[in-house]
Amino acid sequence: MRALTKLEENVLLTILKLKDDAYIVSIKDQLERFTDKNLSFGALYVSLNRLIKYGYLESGVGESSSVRGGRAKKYYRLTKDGISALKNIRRLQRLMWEDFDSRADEWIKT
Amino acid sequence: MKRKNKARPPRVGQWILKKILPSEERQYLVEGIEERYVREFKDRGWISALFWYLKDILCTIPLLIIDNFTGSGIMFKNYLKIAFRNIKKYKGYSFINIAGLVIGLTAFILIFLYIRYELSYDRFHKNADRIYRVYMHQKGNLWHGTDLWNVTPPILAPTLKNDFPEIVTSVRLYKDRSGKIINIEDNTPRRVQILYADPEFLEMFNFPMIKGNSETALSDPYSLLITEKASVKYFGNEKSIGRIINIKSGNGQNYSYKITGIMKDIPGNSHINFEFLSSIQTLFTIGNIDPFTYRGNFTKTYIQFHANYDVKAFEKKLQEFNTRVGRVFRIQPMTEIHLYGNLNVELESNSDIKYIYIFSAIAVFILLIACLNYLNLSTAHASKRTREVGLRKVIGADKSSIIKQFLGESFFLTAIAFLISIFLVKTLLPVFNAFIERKISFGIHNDLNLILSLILLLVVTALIAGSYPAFYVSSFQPVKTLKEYYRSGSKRGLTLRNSLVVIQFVITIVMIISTITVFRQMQFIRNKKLGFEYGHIINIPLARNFSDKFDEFKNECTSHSYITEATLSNTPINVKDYDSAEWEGKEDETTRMIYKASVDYNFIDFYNIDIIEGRKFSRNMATDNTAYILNETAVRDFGIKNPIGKIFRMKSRQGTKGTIIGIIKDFHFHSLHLKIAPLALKIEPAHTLSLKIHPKDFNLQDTMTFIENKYKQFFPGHVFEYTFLDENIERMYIQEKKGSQIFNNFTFLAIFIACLGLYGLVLNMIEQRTKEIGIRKVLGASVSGVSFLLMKSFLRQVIIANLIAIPLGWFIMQRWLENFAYRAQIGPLVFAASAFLVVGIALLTVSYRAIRAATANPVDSLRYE
Repeated sequence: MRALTKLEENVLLTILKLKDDAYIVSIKDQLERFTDKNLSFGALYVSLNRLIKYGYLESGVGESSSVRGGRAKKYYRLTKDGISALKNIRRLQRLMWEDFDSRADEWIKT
Repeated sequence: MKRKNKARPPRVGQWILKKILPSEERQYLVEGIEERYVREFKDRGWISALFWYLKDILCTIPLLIIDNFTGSGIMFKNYLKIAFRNIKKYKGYSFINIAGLVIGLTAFILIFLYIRYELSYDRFHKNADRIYRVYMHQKGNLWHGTDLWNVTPPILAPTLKNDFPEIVTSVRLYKDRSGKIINIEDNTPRRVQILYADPEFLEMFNFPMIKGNSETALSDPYSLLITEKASVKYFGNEKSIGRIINIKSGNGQNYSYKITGIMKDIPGNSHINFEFLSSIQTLFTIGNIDPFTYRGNFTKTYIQFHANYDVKAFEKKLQEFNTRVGRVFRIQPMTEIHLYGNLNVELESNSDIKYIYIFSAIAVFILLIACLNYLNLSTAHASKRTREVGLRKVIGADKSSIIKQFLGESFFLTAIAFLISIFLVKTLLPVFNAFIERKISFGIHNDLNLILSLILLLVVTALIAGSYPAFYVSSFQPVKTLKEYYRSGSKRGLTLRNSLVVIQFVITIVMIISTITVFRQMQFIRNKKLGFEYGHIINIPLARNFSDKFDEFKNECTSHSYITEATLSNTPINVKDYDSAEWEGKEDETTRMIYKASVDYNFIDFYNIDIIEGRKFSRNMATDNTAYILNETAVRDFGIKNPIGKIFRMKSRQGTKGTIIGIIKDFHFHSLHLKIAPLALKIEPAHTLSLKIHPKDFNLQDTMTFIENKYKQFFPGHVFEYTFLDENIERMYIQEKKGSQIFNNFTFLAIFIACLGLYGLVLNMIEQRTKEIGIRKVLGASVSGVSFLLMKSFLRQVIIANLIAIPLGWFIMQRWLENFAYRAQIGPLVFAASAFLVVGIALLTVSYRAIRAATANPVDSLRYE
């Protein structure tokens, strides 16, 4: 299990959200909407390739669409390993943030 | 319709993207970007879309490139192995390639270091960009071609500081070269130069003190600061602080100075240099100078501005100041002095920005030739790797992998060449430094800027040299290459290679033309009749305050058998007096300036100068001690009709009236850069004794010892010095001479690299055509016929190069020669000579191999595949 960067984590989550519609342009739009930061195509493309290399993503070519004048688009899907990786992250995060609220309030009082 | 209004992203960007990405991947990303662009275009217009596109592409392309290269980690070992194998297999070719790159890189780096050094002059001071110097414009007072003078009255500095709030400090400098040190132990006087400065000097400039207190060191009169090097030179390892040094100044008086501090050695890239530093108040006291007047221009003034100063505003205010005091002062940034300062009476001779330009051009050209070489050679050599490339493609490598491999190989070769050239630079630097008289250091370990620049150089060189071959090789088609006989010579490739050879040779030929021209000009200068004799003549400066003994001394010297003649006059090249002239019949009021040489009666005979009209000075004529002899230019420029017998006078100081008794032929009393100016000779005591030595005097040492002893007898406590007139004259052109020598060396390098490349190309071509040559011979072609066939194309390229280079070279040389008032004739002979030279060298390079191929046994070439 590789440690994922924040960006890679967000990319995986976004793809999960997008279900069937996860191709490069839609992923970029969603990410930018959520994080409010601009992401270049290059960075996204490189990340996607990396995630595929790790085995967390797989890609497939969709049907030809009229949007692009008849050529196909490349779609991304999470793999089982990808889901496991996300679950791990979630578990770790739950542990870390478990009693955050109470401890934070306590800290403010002192 | 405007192209931009079409909803397509810029084609250039898309094309680049396509080139970078592997083919299957390509379309998805490219189309994705296009889709996004279209949306932006529809929503917010083409400007916003273009903006967005540029922003994105600027990030995307570098990321893709980096990703590309780090992705092939697996193949890296294989590429490296293959690269090594290829170098071993084709030793000759690799050697030629690397050698060319090494030479180019070494030359480039050396010149780069030089330029960097020159541009760094005076920048080590903390406030360097706020320090300016003040100089005077004395309209009409032309000397050595300019009427801008680096001397100001001593009152200027404090006045400027008081009157202008934007000036923080002002400093005066004066360099005194007439002092002589008298050591305590032995009383041999040694000449010293002392720089006198205001106490703020240590504040304004970054010359740190090692020992002593910088605040008080320069405030006491007769206090002396000494540099480390000088301390060792004069006192060895002993402590020098607190010691008293006696110095005899130019006026003959002795003064005792006390050493109050030791300074760190002055760095080489400073226009201010000194061994001894003293307070300027000392100078005023010694010279009995009133520093509070506007009379007397001799100090150099430097000012430093506050942090937020406005130069233009100050210059305007300065103009008002100028009108008020009746002088014209101007300012110049200190950092410009070394390369742009060409005023009269500089502290030291400066360099010129011209040299920077010329040497930058040379550096770029040599590196270009080396890169073009590499390009040519590897493209030609690619024919050896066709099968490898074909096989790789069959197995599954895509175009970008092939490109990566070959680009990587050129990086590898370039890196090897780079390391060798770094080593060469380190080794050659001391020699280089000695020759150009600089102290450049190659501190790779502590100079981050340098390291980065060198890395950039490596990358750029590898890219320029290796990109095209990599792309060329990656376009091989597998099927074709794996067939029996594949000639990798597309029409396009051949023309490109030919034009590259032409470019290389154009550059080389222009350099050769320049070299020959410069050489001719230098020769011309050396041989041009200066109009006076200067061989076997020695000049001895005499101590001013002993003028009553001069004649006696002169006679004593001539008593020596090997001294044929002596004269007490200014030397012909050392004419400094400059004054305004008046003569009988001068009609208008314009000031006409004339130089004056103080001479002895036998000046004209001593230097063998021609008299055109009238007569020479003669002791028999009592009035001759007020008479004047003018040169042709004076009479011509001033328009004096029938000059003999007219009254003449120089306006200021000892401007006595006298009659013009003769006109001499013009002689060059300045360097050949300048036109001959008007000159007057007058009988006046001069402080130089010139002796003519008999040419048969082979034991010069004895003669000089004799004179030295006499000198010491007559002028006790003064330093005996002498110079040879012909050496002094040579020294006027030393900069040019050195410059031309360096240029010659680089031209030679350029020729060498270009021929190296040519040799490699010939080798390659012959190899490819081995079978063809064999068949031709079998069919009956003669050796000379085949040789000629092989050399034909190369000859054609060299001739084309000549046709381009000759007009170019002529144009450039005309511009350079404009620097000289007196020029050598550059006739068609020069161009013919360089053309022949280049054609000859190229022929030699090519013919050896060609003839060998032509005489080879056809059986051997046709035997194997």
